[in-house]
Amino acid sequence: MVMIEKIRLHKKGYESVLSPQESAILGVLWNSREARVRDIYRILRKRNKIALTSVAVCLDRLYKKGMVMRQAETGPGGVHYIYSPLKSKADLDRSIVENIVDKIIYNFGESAVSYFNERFSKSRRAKRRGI
Amino acid sequence: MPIDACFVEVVIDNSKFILAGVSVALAVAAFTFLKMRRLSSKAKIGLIYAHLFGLFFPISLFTTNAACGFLCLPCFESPLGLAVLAVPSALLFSTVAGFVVIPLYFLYSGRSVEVKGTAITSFISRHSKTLGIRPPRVYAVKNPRPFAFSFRSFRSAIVISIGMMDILRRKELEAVILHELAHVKSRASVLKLSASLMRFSPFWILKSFHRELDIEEAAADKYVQIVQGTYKYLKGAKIKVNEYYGNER
Ligand SMILES: [Zn+2]
Repeated sequence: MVMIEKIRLHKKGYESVLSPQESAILGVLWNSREARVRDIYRILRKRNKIALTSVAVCLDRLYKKGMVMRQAETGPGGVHYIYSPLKSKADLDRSIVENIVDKIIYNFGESAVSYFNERFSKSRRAKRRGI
Repeated sequence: MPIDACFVEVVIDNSKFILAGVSVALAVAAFTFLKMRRLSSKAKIGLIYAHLFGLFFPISLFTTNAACGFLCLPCFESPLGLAVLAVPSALLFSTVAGFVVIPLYFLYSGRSVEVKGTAITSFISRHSKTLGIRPPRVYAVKNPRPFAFSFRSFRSAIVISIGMMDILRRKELEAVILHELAHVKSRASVLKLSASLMRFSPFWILKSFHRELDIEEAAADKYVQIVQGTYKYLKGAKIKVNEYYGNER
């Protein structure tokens, strides 16, 4: 279950539901499939000014939000978490939309549902007319 | 003659059994809650204490009861007064048991793995030899937050969270390990663990505890400086740990 706590409507893309750092980290994980805190830090450091410890904190937040998973792995230097994305980009998008829409319906009930009906019949009509 | 009379009075009192029953129920409830996931470690430690207290309270209730009866003191006449008398000793018992039980909980609840055959373990055996101690076991706790502690119960052990190993460089991790090894050597690391546990008990007000703790900490830091020839890495580790908790807020 993906957990969305707040939406920032003035932000674009994932930054509307995640912090800029969290969404950058998620982007790295989709590229590299799996990575340790340090690996992600090394990649991000080239582009943004970010501290290793904030990468670690953000990864834990993403984990708690149900967006990444982690596994403890013993290496020569000790035990580390290997993080990987829990969902594909498309699946995550869907879960986020689901999460937000469900909450709107929960909070605004009737009004939300009637608006959605209106909105979707409009877009269906537009599709039929080939707009 | 009066002693016998007191004892008879003590044994047949029902209200103490009710108190004991309530206490055991508390212990069971705490234990049940403990099995729930998604509890912070603070909550878990609190529950462990509630559990231990619930178990020890009846024992100290009856021993206090017996002592009062034996000495023919009037304290057994009111079960409430007796309960108040039994609370401090039950707290003491549960605090002491906590020193042993809480580390064991960390180790055997499936939340930790023993670290074997890594550079860390050989580093530890090498330095244990220099210190003249039996090399402690090393456990990695599955926790993203950085922390480390050491304790001795049956055998000494150093516990390091994965979060700690994730953010430290090799030399910084070695500094932390040396610090903990110094604790193991001085045997006082129990004090440190217990001090953090003390927050959950009224014994927290015993401030002299802290001063002893500071001396112990300074000695452990000094050992790191002697071995590594610098405070640099230890300082780096401490800065990162503080930074992590700062970012978390
Ligand atoms: Zn210490």
